[in-house]
Amino acid sequence: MGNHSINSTDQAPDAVDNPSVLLSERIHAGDRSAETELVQQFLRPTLFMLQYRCKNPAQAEDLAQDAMAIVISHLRKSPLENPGALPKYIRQIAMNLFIGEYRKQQRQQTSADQTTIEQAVAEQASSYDSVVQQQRASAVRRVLAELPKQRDRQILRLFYLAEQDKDEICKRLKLSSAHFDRVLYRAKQRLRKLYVQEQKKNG
Amino acid sequence: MTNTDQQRRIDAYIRGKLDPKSAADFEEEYLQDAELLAELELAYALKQGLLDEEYQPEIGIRPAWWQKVRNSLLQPAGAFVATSAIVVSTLAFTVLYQSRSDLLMDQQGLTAFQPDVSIVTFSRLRSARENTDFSAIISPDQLTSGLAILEFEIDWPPKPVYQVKIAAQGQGQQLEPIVVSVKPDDRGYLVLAVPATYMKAGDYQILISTADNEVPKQEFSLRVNPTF
Repeated sequence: MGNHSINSTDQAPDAVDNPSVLLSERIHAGDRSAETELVQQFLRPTLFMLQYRCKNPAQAEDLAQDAMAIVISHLRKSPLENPGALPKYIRQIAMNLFIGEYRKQQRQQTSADQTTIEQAVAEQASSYDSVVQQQRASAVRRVLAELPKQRDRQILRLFYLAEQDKDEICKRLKLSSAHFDRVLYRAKQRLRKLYVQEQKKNG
Repeated sequence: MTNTDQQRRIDAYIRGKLDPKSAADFEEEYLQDAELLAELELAYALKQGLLDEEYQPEIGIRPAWWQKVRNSLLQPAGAFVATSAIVVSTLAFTVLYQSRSDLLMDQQGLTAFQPDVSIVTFSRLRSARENTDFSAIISPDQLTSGLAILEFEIDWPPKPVYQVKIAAQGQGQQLEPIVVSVKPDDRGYLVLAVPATYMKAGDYQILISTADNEVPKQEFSLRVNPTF
């Protein structure tokens, strides 16, 4: 398998101390618990990486699961040349799947017929992650409502949504760099607290 | 790397400001660093939450046009127009009701039908596990990934939107019910993603209704088993 040939120079110096290094060999040796460990360790970050890219949670989940299945299937057949490069290998597999899916969608979209338009609308309106979305929106709304000044809300919007740079925002709103950092830090701290509360509430 | 530098990297990644090589390095890093991933998820949630809020204004915040309407209704002339409109609408409805009561009866006849919830699937491996007895199975990967997928197949009636309520049952369950409006997908399934922490082993009451309450609510129990 070409994908297995991850260059040995990719190995991090402390790779031998990393427990994930052994996973590749254990999976190849037929240790089923190592496969579970691999999924537990890498499914969530892989899913995040794919969600970040493809924006469609359902599709990201399918791709992340496929990536895990492919990695396990490959490792069963032969271990990595450099077990320390397992994260790189997983990323590569996930990215290949994502790019393949993206190309497939691009090909399907070459003729913008009614079906495609309807599909696009349906995707936009998809309520697949509506519960999570509502909870997230509600937590962020609370954070925003607690911000002392309208200007602080504006900072977050300009930074995350308008993707303006910090210097640009500071100049525009006549802010000090420290004030900017403080608003961002406090918003994240508060959100973290609300999330922990939410998790406790949900058992 | 200091905490501030790490936060800068996180924000740069979330905002798509890292070059491809740095982004790839960063992804390899958080693939094996749970703490970094948690920080990243937080920043991402903040961004997505801001985005959600941008497109779903909070109820209670009135847009500018509403303020204008409200102000005009507070004027004597505006109040007169509004009252007249209500009286005319009521009269028109009464006439329609008396002349076309046959139509309304037919509409009521629809209540004889009920949504047929024929399949409930509760698994990330959606096609792999189906339960027709409304029992569901929770898998270890659901607990680690943070999301549990619930699918309901709705045979009838084909409504554009359904209301789904999920309420944990029994003692010891202190969870607030989840109520959400769901559009069926192109297969006719209602698909919901709920936090895996919510769907713990135990009994749940599921209530499905149409948004307009035109048909009776469909209620059934769902038992979640803890292991395969």
